[in-house]
Amino acid sequence: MSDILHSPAKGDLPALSLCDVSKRFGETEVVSGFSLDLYAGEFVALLGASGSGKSTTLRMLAGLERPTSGKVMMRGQDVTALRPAARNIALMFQSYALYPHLSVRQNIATPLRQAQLSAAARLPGAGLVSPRTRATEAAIAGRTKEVAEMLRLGELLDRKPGQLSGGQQQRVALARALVRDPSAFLLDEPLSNLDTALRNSTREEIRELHRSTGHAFLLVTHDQADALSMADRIAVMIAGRIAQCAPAAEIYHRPANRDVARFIGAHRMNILSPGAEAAALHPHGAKIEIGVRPEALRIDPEGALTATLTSAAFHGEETLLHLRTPAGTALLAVIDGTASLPAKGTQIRLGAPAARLHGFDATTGQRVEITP
Amino acid sequence: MTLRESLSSLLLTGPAALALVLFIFLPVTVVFVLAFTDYQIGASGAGWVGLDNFAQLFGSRLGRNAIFNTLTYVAIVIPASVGLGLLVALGLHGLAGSLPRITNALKAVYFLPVAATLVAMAVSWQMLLHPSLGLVNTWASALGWPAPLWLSDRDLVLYTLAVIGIWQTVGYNMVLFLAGLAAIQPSLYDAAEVDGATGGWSRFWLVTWPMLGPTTLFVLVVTAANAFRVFETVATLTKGGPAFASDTIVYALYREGFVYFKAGYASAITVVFFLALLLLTALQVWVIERRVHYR
Amino acid sequence: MKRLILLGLLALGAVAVLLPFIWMVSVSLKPQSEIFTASVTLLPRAPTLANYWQAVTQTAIPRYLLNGVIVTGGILALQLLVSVPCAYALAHREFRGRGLLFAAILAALLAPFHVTAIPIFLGLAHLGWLNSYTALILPFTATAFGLFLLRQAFARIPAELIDAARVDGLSEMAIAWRIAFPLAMPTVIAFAIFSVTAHWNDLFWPMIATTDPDLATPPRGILFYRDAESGDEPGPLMAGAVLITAPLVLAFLLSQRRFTQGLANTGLKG
Repeated sequence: MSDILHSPAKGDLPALSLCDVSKRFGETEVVSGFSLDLYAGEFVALLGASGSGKSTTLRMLAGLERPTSGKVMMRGQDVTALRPAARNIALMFQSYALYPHLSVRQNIATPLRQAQLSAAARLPGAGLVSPRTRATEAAIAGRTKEVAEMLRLGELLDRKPGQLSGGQQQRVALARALVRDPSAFLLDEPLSNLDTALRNSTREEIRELHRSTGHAFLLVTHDQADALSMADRIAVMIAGRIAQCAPAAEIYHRPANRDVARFIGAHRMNILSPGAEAAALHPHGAKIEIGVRPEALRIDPEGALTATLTSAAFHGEETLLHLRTPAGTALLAVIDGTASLPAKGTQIRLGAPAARLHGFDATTGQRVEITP
Repeated sequence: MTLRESLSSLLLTGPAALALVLFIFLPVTVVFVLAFTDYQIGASGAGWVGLDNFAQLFGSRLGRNAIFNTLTYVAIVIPASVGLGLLVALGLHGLAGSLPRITNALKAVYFLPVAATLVAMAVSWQMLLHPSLGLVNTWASALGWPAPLWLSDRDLVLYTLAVIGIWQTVGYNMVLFLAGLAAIQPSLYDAAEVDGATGGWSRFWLVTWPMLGPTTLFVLVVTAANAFRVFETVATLTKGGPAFASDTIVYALYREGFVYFKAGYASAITVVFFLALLLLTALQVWVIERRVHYR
Repeated sequence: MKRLILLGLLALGAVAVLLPFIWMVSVSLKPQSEIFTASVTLLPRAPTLANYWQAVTQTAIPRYLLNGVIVTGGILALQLLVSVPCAYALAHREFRGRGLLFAAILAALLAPFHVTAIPIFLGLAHLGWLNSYTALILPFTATAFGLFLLRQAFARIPAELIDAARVDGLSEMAIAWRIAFPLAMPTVIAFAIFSVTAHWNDLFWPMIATTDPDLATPPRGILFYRDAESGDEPGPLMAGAVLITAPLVLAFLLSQRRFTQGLANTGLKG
């Protein structure tokens, strides 16, 4: 399927793109026929469950892994065979991968030193011999300080990573990635090692970083909250393929297929197989599957669907109702926590606004447009 | 704490505590006392001689010779066996991905001398280096090289023993280095790659070598401690000879104490040997505290 | 290509390491005439087991092997008997002096056996116990290293499990042996490999504590034999060396992982 549909038209070549890329490890194909364009100034999230192939995709973009087939392009140039450093792509690792024996300053400076100084010039004391090395060192030190200050690391430059908190380590990793002004910025699960309070502020910080640098950002995550809150576009990855690539709201409101519909959302979408019950909700329900999100279902004496309440769980601001239809389909409904609860075993009538119903082909699982 | 519980604890720990006192703490104390006496094994009494035994060890030609030989031996064995152990480990680590079976077999071969009985292997080395019946000199003369007397040439014997010492410890160090290499996070190598450290050399200096820091220190100290104790090969192959050219501290301890029965002097040697080992351990702790743990 | 060169170098090193082993086995299989010849070869031309027959029937080497089994077995049994209850108490009981005892164990780790040899020799001589299995076994009862290893392993056993055993009415000694000991089996095996290897291969103490060839452990024994035959019979000597080395080498080849762990991870002493 074409994922380029939703890419913003910039009239420019994409900063980074994957063209029909596949990756096989032995017998298993981890990524199949994957295409994605990432434009300068864009923030795209690659969202998938663990094992969906998103980390392999990221590693192929960075150049740490060679695709089995397909091409990696940067601004129209084929970079498939280029090593990571030659691509000038920044990568922030999930584990941060900071060099524990180097200070924060040295960690941040490493990409610059590797690129700008020869092996001999990297030796301690080389600056004493060569004025040119000294000038380069000075430039590197300046840039390091600049990036460090942008990320509020100015006070910590002489510490070792082991002496920093998780949040500070994360900022050092960001700084090391940013220091050489990359043409694209890849983040591998950047928030997964942070506690909840820190996650929210760090999300905002990464957004801000994206706005101020204007680089193309690609975020790889398994957490839809991260993807929904930070990215302009989300590429949902299921079993090695892109299932849908679109802005967050569209993915939520118009999922391209059943798998995406079920993957996205705080609660799993209810799916009614074609038949009388589905037809009661929507006329097309006789032939296709009808999906309705738990938060779209409501108790409605006029509702078209009947179900028995099997259990109810009070979660404070909302209450989860587990129900079963006469045909045996399990349903989940989320209602306001202040609503009074019907007794267990009661028959309840449920309804949902027509605009919040989704149709899926029963065999292919692809979306069928049913909303007016 | 009830009486019953106290008795129970005593029953559990008593025998081990008694054994520790009887076989470790008491003897160590006695050695430190004996070192200042002229006690001879079998004598009925002994006199206090102050630091005479130590003066003899550091002042006599024989004593200084044993110390110098030991230090020479240690100075050869440490860098060679640590360096070779690291090289073999790096090589095997590099091959492990593509040739797991061959790598495993090679690993077993290199480790074999560690498990083998050193005295028996020394006897085999003796045959191997035998002036007329040995393989080494047969091959050497076939190539037109000189055929030295490996174990009876005064200028050569210590180096021969050092080579055997290296042969025995390379595999041990290799295993420790392999464990150290396996513990390095793969993402650090990825980071190095992204940061532009692409060649094997720059990867080694940016990631491998610093990350092996704690392992290297541990290997150095273990190798040093074991080299200081060299005894089996000396006792088997040279008995410290010829003309004390391969006399070492622990062999001198054995000779003075149990061949000449000079318990007082042998105790002084023991004390010096023990203090040297303690110094080594202290050095290790100090270095670890200061540098290698990166905190 | 680079990989091939690397493999070649490593294989070359491996051959060098193996040379003394190959030579030992080779000479042990050579007839007398092939050993005493001007044209020495690496491998025997007419291999024979005669040297082994001679080593087994006409020398004391079987006796040395038996002594080795008795001494290493005795040492290990005594070490475990004394160390397991103590290590258990250190890991799972509160008692006065626990900190002191643990500190003492750590301190004792620093003293290699060579340091204690003279006073222990004097003590055994005083008691008239030299030249006996007791002299070879008893001094090694105290193993700071074993205590330390076992305590670390026992400490990893959840306290609830120990409490459950107490509730079930097991005595403390029974908990140490029937709960903690089996659960720490990997550590026990690692320690057993370490202890048996160290004492099977030890030459220092047997040279001091015994002069009686009938009590010689394998390394001590092979030297007795070598010095007695004074170079006339290298064939049987090498056969003896092979027989003495074989048990540990075979055990190593059969369970490489355990052996490497036992000898390397427990590598502080040796």
